[in-house]
Amino acid sequence: MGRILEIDLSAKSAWTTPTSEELIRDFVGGRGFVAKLLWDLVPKGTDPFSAENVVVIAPGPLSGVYLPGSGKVHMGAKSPATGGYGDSNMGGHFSPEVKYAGYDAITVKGKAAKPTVVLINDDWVTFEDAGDVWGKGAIASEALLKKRFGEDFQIATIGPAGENLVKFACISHDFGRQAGRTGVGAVWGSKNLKAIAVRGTKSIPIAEPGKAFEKGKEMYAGCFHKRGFETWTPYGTAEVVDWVNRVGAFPTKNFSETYFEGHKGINGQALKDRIKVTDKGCFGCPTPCGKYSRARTALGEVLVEGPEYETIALMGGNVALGKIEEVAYANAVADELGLDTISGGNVVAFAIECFEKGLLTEEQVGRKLAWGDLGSVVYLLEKIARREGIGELLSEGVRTASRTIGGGSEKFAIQVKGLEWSGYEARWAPAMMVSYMTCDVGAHHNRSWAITYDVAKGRDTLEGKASRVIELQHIRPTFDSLGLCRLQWVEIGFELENYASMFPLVTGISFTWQDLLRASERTWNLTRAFSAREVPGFGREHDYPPGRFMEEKVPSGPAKGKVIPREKIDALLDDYYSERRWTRNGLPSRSKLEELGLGYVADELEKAGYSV
Amino acid sequence: MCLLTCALTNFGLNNPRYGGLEIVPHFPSPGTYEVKVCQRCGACKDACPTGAIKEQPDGSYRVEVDECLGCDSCVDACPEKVLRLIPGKNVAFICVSCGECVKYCPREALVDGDGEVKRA
Repeated sequence: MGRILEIDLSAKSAWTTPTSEELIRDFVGGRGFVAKLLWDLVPKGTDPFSAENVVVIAPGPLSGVYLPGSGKVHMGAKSPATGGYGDSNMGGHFSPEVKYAGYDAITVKGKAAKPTVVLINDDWVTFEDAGDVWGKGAIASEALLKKRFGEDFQIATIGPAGENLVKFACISHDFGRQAGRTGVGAVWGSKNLKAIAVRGTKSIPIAEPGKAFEKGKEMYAGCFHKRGFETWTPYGTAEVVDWVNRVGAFPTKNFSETYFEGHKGINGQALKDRIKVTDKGCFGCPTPCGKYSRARTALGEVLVEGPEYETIALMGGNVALGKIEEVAYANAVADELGLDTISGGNVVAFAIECFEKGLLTEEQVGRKLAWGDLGSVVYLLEKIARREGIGELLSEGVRTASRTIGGGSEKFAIQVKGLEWSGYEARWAPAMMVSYMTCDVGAHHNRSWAITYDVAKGRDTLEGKASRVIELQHIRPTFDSLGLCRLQWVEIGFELENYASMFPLVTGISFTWQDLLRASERTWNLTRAFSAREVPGFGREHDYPPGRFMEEKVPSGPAKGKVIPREKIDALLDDYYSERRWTRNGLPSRSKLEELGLGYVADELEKAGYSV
Repeated sequence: MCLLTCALTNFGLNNPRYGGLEIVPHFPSPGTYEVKVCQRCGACKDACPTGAIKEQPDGSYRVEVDECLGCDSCVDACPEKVLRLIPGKNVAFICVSCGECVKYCPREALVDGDGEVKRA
């Protein structure tokens, strides 16, 4: 058991508390710790940009340990994008370093008087001036801070978008890994927190070190002999571009279409053949999906990690860029500015569609906008990150922007709960649709990537979809709680039981996989409750997809003619709530909360006026 | 992975910075990695003030633990920067060619003394 490091930026002080075994048993670590600590530490009704909001940084109990994919860290805060629960995770080498410094989690509250880098060198925490990097790009800042503090510090930083409180600003690390979603980077910016640099020289305490090391070796060797081991890495996540087009789910022109004619110009093969410099792995990864690329375009040459699938979908198909070099260029611009490429791609596409429909004028925007035009994309990203001109409105995200612009634009503001939609269009994929609708942070795919289930079980049927989504919403976030990457399981078929048998060897807690899933369900109910506590009138209304998906038929491609009318959406929600034993309004019921040991949460929700 | 494999195999320490090899990343530009391993150049032996570092018949070098002062001279002299002081013991550690890093390199970037890849 380690410690939790608590930092107060206002007081420039830091202290530690021991991590209780009860906290690990109930919430495991990582995302589970983020959920519990935010529930406990963020006062109800806190403005996400106020000093009272709390940043939680949590590796998991298996982070930094010798097993595949042990390099993930969770970054949480009350989300400025949604006003509810927010977290985002990233790979790289930050997570293990936090563990080597001796911490199971870090919390940061308050606001620094001036731009600050928090330097964590084992037990020593200091507050360093960030004046020289404030205003600089995220990648440039990391390079400068490495030079200043030393190569063996792991650094997480924000870019200008975070400093300027753009609601989809990300946290960047390892020259291209990002905690991109829910605007966590803007919360750092609101605290004048430019970066955290950490160095740890300790060993992780392990309950049964010999057995754990042997198990780790067995797991690696197991991965080496999986069928997908050799085929996955050369292309990484970009491999999936062709498949998503084939099944008619590829975001194209602001999700108005679901098949991108130019997809061969931006797929895994194009990436590998035309721009890849090297594979770039996160800590402990046997199958690195990271690709480092060099791309030349008419606007110039960039070096960038990526583009990953999500960036290709949202900054490729969704804005109709058909050349992998141009997608890489847009990716590099977004990374340096510190913008999430998923939300960024959505916002840019939304603006282009508004321009096409005459809802935004050349005068308002400052130039013409067009599909497939890299100049339009880069122009908007820069305006957004600096909140200049049209960027001021767009930096709020598509939900807020559409409310201001009006003219029916709400229907093609592609978001749920205020978070823009990631890379799978779902009009003909009910399980994927309900995944996006009910994801606790908004329209994100990582909690339940159920589109393969739709393809396998029938894409028109609703039956069994909600229950598969619930199952996935417990399995996948378990990796997030353990501090692990799930891609060895998802992509090369490495068995889940391996992770379960490692957990007791490391922690000394004799949990089974079922126990871990139970903790995951507890976390899921708590994050839902957090959003209900923080967002007035929260419930079913916050789970609906945008009007486009319920009213407009897919115009072309493999999913031509498909739409998912509101009655089907309601049927999916009814199934989902009932299986979760939530109320018809989508709130965790008292009996479910009590069964999970969360009676105190039910009390809070009732106090807030909800009937549970 | 190679670093952590080494640190765990040789010291039982779960922290890659104690591995007896080094990965030097060059990012953001040009975007490459350098992997450094002991080249058996003997610079450590030459720098050792007590003669504690001995050349072995196979061309590798070993530290006589009783003769090592933990003075860091060899660590500074190593051109590859892959020598370490064993944490808590204050004696030098030089790669013992156990081959574990080779076995667990998933990308087959490391080879053994015969130039062969032997992945687990």
